[in-house]
Amino acid sequence: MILRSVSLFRRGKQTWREVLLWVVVWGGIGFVGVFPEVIDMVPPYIGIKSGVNVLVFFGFVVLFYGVFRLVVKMEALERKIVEMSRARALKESDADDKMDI
Amino acid sequence: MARSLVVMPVYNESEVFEEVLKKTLFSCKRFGLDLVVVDDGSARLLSTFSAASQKPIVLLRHEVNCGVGAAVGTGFAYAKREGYQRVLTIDGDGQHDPADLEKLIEKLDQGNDVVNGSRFLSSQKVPASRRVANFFGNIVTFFLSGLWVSDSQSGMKGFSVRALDQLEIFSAGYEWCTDVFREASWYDLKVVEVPISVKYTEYSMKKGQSFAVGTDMVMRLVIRALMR
Repeated sequence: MILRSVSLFRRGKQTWREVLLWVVVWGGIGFVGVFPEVIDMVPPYIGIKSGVNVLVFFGFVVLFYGVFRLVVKMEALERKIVEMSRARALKESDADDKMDI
Repeated sequence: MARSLVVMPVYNESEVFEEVLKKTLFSCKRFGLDLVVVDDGSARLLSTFSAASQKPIVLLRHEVNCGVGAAVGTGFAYAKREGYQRVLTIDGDGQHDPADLEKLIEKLDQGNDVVNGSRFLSSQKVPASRRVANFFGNIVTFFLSGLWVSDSQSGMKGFSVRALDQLEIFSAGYEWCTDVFREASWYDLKVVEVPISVKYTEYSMKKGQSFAVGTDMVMRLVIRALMR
C-alpha cells in the first residue's frame, strides 16, 4: 500500500500529505505486525485491559469518524445539487406562465 | 387579502396528475389562491398546460430527482421571489382534499404561523402501517423540536409570511416535514393543527414512505441536529 501510494504521488495523483498519512497508517500496522508486543505497552496508560481491545476500540473510532465525514460530504454534495436544480428551475420559470384562474 | 401560493410537489405522478390538478385548480379558484407545481425530475415530462382549466400553469422543473423537501423549498423560493405572503403545500398523489386548504387559510387568518393539516384529528380510515410510521415520526419530531403534533409527516401545511421569511427548507427528502417543526420551534413560531380528510388509494399507498426511507430520514435528522 505504501509503494502504491508513492507511485500515485509520483504520477501526481496524490498529495504528499496523503502519502504521509498512508505511510503512517500502514507503517504502523506493519510495525505492530512485526512487533505485536508493543501494543501491550499502551493499555495501562488509557485504562483498557488488553492490547487487542485498544486496537478494536480505536478501529471503531476511526470507522465511525470515517462514516460521519462521508455523510457530511454527501449532505454537502446533495445540497449543491439541490441548489443548482433550484436555480435552474427558477430561471426557466417564465413570468408569462403565471396562472390566471 | 394576503397573496397565497399553493405549492404542489410532484414526482412521477402522470397517472393521476390531471385529476389532482383539476380538483386543486377548482379549490384555488374558489379561495383566491395561485398554484405552482414543482416537478421533481419526473421521468415523463408534465404538460405546462392544464387540460382541465384550459390555461397554462406555473411548472417549475428540477432536472434531477432531489426529493420532496427540495421541491417544496423550490416552491418557497418561488413564493419569496414573486412576493407571496403565504404558502400552502399539498401532496401531488391525490391523497389530500384541496377543499381543506380553506381550513388552513382560516387558521393563518387567526395569526398562526405554521398550520399543520392532521389526518389523525378526525376518525378516518388510515392504514395501520401509516399510523405506526407516523407515531414514530411524531416521537422523533418531539425530541428534535419539543413540539408534539398528531401528524408530523403530513404534506398539507400552511405558512404565514413570518414563517416564509424565517424558515429555510434544508432537508431534501421526506424529513422536511419534521425539520420544519424543529425550525418553527427555534424561531418561536406559532404552530397549530387542523383536521383534514385523507383518501388512501392503492396508488397513494405505493408512493408513501417505506421503512428504509424512515430509517434514512431519522439518521439524517439526528446527524443534522448534531451538526448544528
